[in-house]
Amino acid sequence: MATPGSVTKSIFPAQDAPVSDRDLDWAVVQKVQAGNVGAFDQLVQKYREQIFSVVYNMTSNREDASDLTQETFIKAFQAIGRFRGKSSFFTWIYRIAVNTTMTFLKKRNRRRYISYENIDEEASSSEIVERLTASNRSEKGALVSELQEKLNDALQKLSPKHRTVVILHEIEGLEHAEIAEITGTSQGTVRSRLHYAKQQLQSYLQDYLV
Amino acid sequence: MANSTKDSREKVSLEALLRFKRSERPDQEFWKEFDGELHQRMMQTLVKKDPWPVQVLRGLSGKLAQTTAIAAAAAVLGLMAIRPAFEGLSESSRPALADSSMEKSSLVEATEEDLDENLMAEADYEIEMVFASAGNDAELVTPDYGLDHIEVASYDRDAYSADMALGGFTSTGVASLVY
Repeated sequence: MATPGSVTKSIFPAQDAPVSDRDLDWAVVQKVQAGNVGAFDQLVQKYREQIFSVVYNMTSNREDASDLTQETFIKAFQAIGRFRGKSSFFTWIYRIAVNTTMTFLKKRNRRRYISYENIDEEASSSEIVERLTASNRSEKGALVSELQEKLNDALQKLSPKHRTVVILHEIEGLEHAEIAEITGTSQGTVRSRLHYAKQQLQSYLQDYLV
Repeated sequence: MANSTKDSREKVSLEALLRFKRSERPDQEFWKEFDGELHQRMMQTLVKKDPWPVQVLRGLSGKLAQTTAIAAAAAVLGLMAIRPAFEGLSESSRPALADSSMEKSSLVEATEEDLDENLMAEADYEIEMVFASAGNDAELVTPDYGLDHIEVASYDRDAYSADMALGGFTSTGVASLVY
């Protein structure tokens, strides 16, 4: 399926990404390691949206997500001298993001501050909204807001570990193997967590599901 | 009403519903602000201060070095000020020394009227210039005291000449002084 870290990848994971993408990142990393600090900006521009998306979906708070995404890049910048290219930069920085967010969520404990991100205007005309509503425009707008709230609520009901797997697989489109590398678990554990998390979500979102 | 609306909905799969989350995206204004904040934070990490224990130690060691240097300078000046007085006392208590050959040689041009006790003491501790960059030739008396020389008492000046000429700081213009 998708190879993460594609050059063409934005928030949507690229399909059939070029094989050399990992090498391209490694070349940029080596520039940074050689003292070209400005080259790190290329990596920030390339991965900021993906990292933000993961963190935002894990926290359901755009301000926290912004702060944690920045923290992720700062940690990566500080540790980039120790990056040896054994894994891809993509999985390495995702791992930093996930660990940073997990630590944050543990500290945040039970307190929850919801601060939703803007919904893309195109979402109103998306296939999902079309199928869930009649053609009435105002009803579509209401449904988009409703969906956003319900989905975020449902995700927040999952444990952080299960939430992470669902987000990485279903929203970010990563492979089981990549998720296993990012979360530091086996592929079996990833599949197991994914199965359980989807069961939970089915029950939370049954009003909308087949 | 709400129930009837829900009933009229065509249902979708969970995967399709979750993909809807991809439409939650920040606008360009957000990313502009994000980049600015990130660059600022990264600059802060580049010029990050040392941890507080290191800062405290550095401050203490700086003050300690400063205090030691001031104390050492005060001690040297004190010795230079006090030593002639003690020597003067010892000279006056031993008048026989006034006839020593060394003292005679230093006063070879003095007139007979000048050879009172006070002048003898002053001549014995005449201030002499010691140049860091020169050898024995530097034992010249110059009226002004530049930065590249220090003052020592000329009493027993032969004993000082080696320190002056062979000092390790000769190239930097700093003379070593050993009593």
